[in-house]
Amino acid sequence: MTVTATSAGPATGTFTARLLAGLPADGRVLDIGGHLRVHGLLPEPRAHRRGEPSVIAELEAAGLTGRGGGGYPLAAKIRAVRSASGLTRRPVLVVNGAESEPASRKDSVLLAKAPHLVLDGAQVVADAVRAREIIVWLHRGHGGGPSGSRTAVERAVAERDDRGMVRQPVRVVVGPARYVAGEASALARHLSGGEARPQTTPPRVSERGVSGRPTLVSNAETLAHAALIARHGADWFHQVGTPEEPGTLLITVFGAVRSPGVLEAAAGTTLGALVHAVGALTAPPAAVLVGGYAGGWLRPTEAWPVPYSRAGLRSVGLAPGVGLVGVLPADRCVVVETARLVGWLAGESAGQCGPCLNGLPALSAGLRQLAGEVGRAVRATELPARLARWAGMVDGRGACHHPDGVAALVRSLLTHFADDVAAHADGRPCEAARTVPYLGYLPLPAPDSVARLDGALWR
Amino acid sequence: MALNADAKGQWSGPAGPQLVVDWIKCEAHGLCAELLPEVVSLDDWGYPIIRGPVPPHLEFLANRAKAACPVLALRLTRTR
Amino acid sequence: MRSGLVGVQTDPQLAWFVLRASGLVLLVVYTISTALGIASRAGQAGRWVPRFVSNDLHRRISLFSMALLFAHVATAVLDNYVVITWTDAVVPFVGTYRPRWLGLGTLALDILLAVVITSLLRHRIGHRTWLVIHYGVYAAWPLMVLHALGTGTDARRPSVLIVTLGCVVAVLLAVVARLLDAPGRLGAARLAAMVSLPLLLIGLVLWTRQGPLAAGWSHRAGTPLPSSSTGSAK
Repeated sequence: MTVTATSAGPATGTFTARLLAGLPADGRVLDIGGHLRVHGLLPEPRAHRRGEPSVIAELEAAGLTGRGGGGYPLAAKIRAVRSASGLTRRPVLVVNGAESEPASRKDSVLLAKAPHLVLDGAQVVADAVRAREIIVWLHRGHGGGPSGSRTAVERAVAERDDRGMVRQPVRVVVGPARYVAGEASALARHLSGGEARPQTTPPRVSERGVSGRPTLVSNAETLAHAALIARHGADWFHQVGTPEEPGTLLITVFGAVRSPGVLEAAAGTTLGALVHAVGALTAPPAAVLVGGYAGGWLRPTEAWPVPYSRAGLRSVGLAPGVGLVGVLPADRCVVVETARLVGWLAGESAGQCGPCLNGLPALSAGLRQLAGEVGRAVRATELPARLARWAGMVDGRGACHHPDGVAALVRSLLTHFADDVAAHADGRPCEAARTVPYLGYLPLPAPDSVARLDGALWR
Repeated sequence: MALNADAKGQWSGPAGPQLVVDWIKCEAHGLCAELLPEVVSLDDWGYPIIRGPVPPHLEFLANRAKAACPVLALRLTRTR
Repeated sequence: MRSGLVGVQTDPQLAWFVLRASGLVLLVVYTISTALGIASRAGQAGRWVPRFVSNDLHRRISLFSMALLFAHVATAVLDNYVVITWTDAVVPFVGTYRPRWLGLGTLALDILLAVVITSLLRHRIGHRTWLVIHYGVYAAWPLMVLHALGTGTDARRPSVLIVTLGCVVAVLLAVVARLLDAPGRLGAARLAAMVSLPLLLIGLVLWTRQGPLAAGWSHRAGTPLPSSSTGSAK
């Protein structure tokens, strides 16, 4: 996938690359020399202000929130970990580069092309919480060869080590490629020697995480932003974006677009502008997926004016999730695609919690029935109501937010594509659904239905 | 003390403590729903749905449900 | 006759009667408790009575049994017709009266003490630890049965035999129900376990016939000769 260093403002279209600034045109990684030329040196930690490193107040003023889907303010996380730590109880910082969202590429691209920015941010936060070590958490399958994130990170750490820039030991850990393994408590459990399955909180990871220590888990992109805020300040961060949601986002735009890739855009950029920035559509659109596979669908005409921000998406019942916009072309069926996604997501459950373990397969089966067998129509008028009921039944009833995401996806289908759903339920599926063979559009990793049971696959 | 459940089953009125389920431990034994049907109902697969905070006059039953759970999957937290 | 430290009873017949009666009642009560416990794991609870009822019943019966067990042991120790000390009550196999068979009862008591104490502290020690120790009941209950047959001086009475047999069958049935109800397919291990249960029952019956029911068991079991011959040796 191409990496486009573009950004779009809500109205203007002025492009200000920040995270993706200065990347070599040939796609090579920005090495330490290039990194320092583009961004300059990371300032030394300044004096404390009100008993804590001043960078924390700067991050708070900047309003930097997590870019990994949670949207939690970084400054608050730092403070929580600090208060749980002590002289002898030093915390651990985990750079979350898992990117288990199949269609998302933003973290892999960032780590593979601009690892120093992420490592700078890790440095800033590690200093702020007095971490004893930094762990870069990656998933199998995203490691890859010379252009992969793992190699790039390890090389970057070596470069920094050569220049004496490493203050806390940094190690790279490659975890199992499961969708939920990148969840904070899951990766903490794995790093403590167990399986990468989510754990019940409390206690929160910020109080007790890796090996019982307070652990700060932060998405790679969030840390990259922190690195720039430490250099340029909170006011600079506010120069783009919206007042409530300042700064830029990395968004993967894919599907029926001319140049799918990772964009850097100001928060609040409309979905239409994002699609335009990747060369516009290659086919008439049927639906737009926002936020991830456990995000939500929108009708294209409704989607284009929606700003990519928490507030903007909330107005249409969605959440930002991880920056992701997928355009489904009209020769595919949104109901069938949802059935595929939910089927895959059900198989990705850690299988620990009853509602998720039972509810997700029920939703999957119901959606498959709704989608109809390929070439055949099925009448099931009570299905939409049952799907809505099950979605409500799994939402919020698990150790992690995996079932919540699936519920959100299903609800968005039932809400925004009610007509299509009703037609399917009535035995009148769309033209696309009746295409034989139906080739699935949204990319999914190879299905592995028994994976959940095999403990070895979670280590 | 008037305690009304609205259409979604949310209680209104003075709230007591909150019954919280540890979803990983829960094995759908269902004792909690037997003891405290005013607050706990069961979903299609036998797992508890906590409809709201525990009304103060039922707190002793909530404690009993917590003690009765065979896998210790229930917690009782103070009012938020 | 010497009076003991406490000198509670002067009638050895009464003490012996209490001992035997409490022993039989204990066997029945523990059987009920064990069967209830096994059945509730088998998911059978909740069919006729709400689960919290059978759960509560199990706990209360078990606690009541401990009180009765204490009375049983205290009677055995305080009564001076046969020498059984407090040590014999907690340390198995060191007594002078039918050491092996009494010791089995002592061992069962030790296990049950651990089970009850951990159950009372369940919330403190966590579920997994509690469960592992609780499995000790699968050892304690058979020990109890063997103790009853080995030391029980009423083993020859038909009514007592029937009750004992009934208890054994009840628990075996509960175990079968548990094995049938366990999740997953019926594998070789579980089938083997279920087949072995009737075999165990047959084995027990055969052993009982040539052991406690045969002549001279009292001597073979290790009953010491009385120091003063007051009253008949039972």
